[in-house]
Amino acid sequence: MKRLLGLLATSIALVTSGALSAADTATVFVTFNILRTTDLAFSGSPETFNVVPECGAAIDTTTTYSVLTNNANMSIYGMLDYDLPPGVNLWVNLEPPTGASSTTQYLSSIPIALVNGISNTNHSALTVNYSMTADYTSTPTIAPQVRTITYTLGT
Amino acid sequence: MKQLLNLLAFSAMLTGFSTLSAANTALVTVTFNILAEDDIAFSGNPGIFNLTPGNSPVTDNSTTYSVTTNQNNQRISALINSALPTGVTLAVDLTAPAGATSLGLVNLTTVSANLVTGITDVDQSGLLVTYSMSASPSAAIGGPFNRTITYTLSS
Repeated sequence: MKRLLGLLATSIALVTSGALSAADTATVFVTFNILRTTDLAFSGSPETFNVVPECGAAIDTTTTYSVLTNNANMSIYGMLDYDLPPGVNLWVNLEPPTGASSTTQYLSSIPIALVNGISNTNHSALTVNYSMTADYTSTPTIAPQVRTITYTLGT
Repeated sequence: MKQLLNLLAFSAMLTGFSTLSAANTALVTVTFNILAEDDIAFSGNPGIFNLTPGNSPVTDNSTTYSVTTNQNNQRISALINSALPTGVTLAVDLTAPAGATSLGLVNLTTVSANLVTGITDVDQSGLLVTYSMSASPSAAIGGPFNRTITYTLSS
């Protein structure tokens, strides 16, 4: 009889299932829009003007304004709800934000550009200069007169 | 002669039995590897962001993510495929799995940034993803813009 073999050693290599996961990265898509925005605000109204004809201008610099826009080449326009009495003039000068320009303008019921070239800006506390005069043709008022200024930020 | 043959046969048989007795145990060697498992997946993309420059950030928490790892001290990092428009920010906050640490809202750029650290032996899903986007006043109007975020789970 054939002598049987003694010990039998068998090496079995077992490899656990599951290769290295390929999902150790993930991608996500983000979509966004940047909307148009404009904002114009004034800190308040000037003080009451007590104007003496032919005695120089009554001046007020107590208020400021702020402007915000992500548009290009915008302008600020100003107009009165209705014209001033004869001989009375109201002037306004708005301090321009960086990159823009301004001029002192006489306000009437017709819109007029006060600041030009406003682009991509966010400024606050910009000075507002009012100046009111009256000449000898003006008529003394019995009661205070009121005008409303409409400022518009537009193209 | 016959008795001698029988004796020899018996001896052979005894030898055979003793051989079988030595072979009633066998040693088997098992060799195996446990491979690293890293898996990260997101439930989807956030909604479209409509950004008004200068306004508060817009947030989205409509998506979740899952993470699986059998390793120690892993981290999740992320980057975007290209820079955002000037003035636009995109931040993400990943809720950390158990035992890990979230870095909170992290601004995403084209340079990889850590979002979660210290991830060890976890298998969690439904973890909240919070996106936050904003646009400064200097951000130009436009869109839709698209960006791809790549999240990576690694050591």
